[in-house]
Amino acid sequence: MEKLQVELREAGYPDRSAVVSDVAFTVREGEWVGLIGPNGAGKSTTIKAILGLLGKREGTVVFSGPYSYIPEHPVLYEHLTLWEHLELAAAVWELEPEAFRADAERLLARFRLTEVRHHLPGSFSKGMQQKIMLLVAFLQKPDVYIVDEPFIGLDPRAVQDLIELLEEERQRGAGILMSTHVLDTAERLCDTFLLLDKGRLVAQGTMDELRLSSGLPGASLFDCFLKLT
Amino acid sequence: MLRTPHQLFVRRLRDDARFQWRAWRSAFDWIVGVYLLLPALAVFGYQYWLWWTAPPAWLELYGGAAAAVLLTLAALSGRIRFYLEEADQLFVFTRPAWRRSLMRAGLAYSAVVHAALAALAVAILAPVLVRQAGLSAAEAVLLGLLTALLRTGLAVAAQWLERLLRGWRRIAAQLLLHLLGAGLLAAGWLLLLLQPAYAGLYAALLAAALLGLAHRRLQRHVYALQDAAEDHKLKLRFTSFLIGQAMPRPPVSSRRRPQLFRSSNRLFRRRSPAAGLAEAAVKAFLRNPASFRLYLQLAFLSTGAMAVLPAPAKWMLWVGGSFMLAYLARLGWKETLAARYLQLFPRPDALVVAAGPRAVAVLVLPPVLLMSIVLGAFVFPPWGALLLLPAGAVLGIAASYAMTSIPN
Repeated sequence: MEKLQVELREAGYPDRSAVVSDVAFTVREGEWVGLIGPNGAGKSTTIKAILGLLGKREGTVVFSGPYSYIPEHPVLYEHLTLWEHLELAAAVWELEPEAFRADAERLLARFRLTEVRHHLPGSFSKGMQQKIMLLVAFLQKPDVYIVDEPFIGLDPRAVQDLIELLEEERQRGAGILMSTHVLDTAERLCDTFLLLDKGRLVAQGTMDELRLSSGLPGASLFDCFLKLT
Repeated sequence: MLRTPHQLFVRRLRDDARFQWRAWRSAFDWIVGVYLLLPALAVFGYQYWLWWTAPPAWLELYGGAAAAVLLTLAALSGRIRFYLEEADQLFVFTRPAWRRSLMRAGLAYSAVVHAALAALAVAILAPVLVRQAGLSAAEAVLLGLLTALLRTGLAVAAQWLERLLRGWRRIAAQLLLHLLGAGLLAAGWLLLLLQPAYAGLYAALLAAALLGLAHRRLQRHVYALQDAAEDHKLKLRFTSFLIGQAMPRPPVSSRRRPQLFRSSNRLFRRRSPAAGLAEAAVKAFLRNPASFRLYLQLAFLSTGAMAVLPAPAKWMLWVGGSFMLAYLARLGWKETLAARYLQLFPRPDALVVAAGPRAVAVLVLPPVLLMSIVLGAFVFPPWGALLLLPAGAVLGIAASYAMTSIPN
């Protein structure tokens, strides 16, 4: 079953030429899709266009149900505590209070943030702030996760926790669209790949299909990336 | 070309002016501005003319005290901008002469701004200073100069203390500094009244002390990064309040737990999307020192003025003050809505419509009810306070709905 269908003819910022054109793909139930490309290829712009955060978007984006977005950089209120960020998310998503409390406590413990839940995130390191973004995303059980450069700023244990949680969600049936530069991890985790360059899809498919497109049988994602971009 | 520290400073000054202007232009609500600010200016202009020609009784009674309080506040509330930037550590900080020149120019520019503000304060208070206190025009100008010198010197000292001390020691030191500043200004005022011949000498001594303090401060290169961080904060002081989180920046706070609602306490018992959003807006507003200070000042000034103004003006203040408070709360509400964190969630219009008046009303009602009690007690003694409480509640809620229904 398709969890996310994207057909972007053009997307970008108003009064500027399009940053992304002719990008079409789907994320299916239980599928982990890697969005990769060099700096400035349009990965974050594609994600923002999917989320409707850009002024200019021509095309269609269809979600089968709710989604969670994990941005590249933490976006937090300076004057709300960690717990209040979670409560605000629960209120807006209308999560059932008891279930929210249990999930939130479990996630706080998993990311080792229980002790600081009534602290202001401004006193946290960047990695801790990024963990709040993960907590918020995992609070609801969405159909799709959209994850922008998730490994930046996280310590190895947090990276492992994130991968395990995303894997659990995939097994539940959620689709995952993940933009990343960490190609060896992407090769290990993702089922399919979208290779973006200069705002256009230059290749997409499984690892075998990418090898075929690049003419490099048995090559790694890193080698295919260098060949195709 | 940026070949000298002077050129770099001028470039930064110009960039900063352009940045501030763009932020004000994009965020200032011109409709509300025209409806509130222009009439307020017209009323103030008329009142100012009356202060010169036929001063009201309250001005005769409280004018001198009010002038002393306002000039003291002006002297104590200055900050210095050195126009340093974090990226200066790559180049500028490696050349001490450049760093010192930049900081010297920033300090001089801050002093000029302080002098202009002090001149404005003295011009506004001139009817009191000249008519009641009996100062000559030259003495009033000298009082302005003393205020500006103290404002600059105290700002340098206060920022230096912030670099040196933490926690209660910092608060105690700043309290002592403020007491010293207030004492120095009072001494200058007394000299002007009793021994005006020595007031010029006093100003010269203060200027010499300021130069000595500034010279020593400019040698302290170890604070350069902290100075740059504070410059960044001061640059965004007004704009961050006006345009909220439109500019991406991570929250920075040295405080671990908030002072208000320390355990993330709930404001509304019943949970709903609107209650959750309104609660976040109220907490974010009250915990933001800038908005909280402004809110308290407006609340106390309105309530205090309610006690001393003549009856017709009390009614105008009751309505006008309520709408001003609602406007201030609306700015906080808009800041919460503009936050990038909220972009993580779908945000239907109905949710915004339901949460906005609730958040604004929670902030507006306490000071409006307080104003209503004072108004009722003065206008309809002895039971007027009780009579006007429900009316105040209606006014506060109406102002909250009105302010949140204005587009953008």
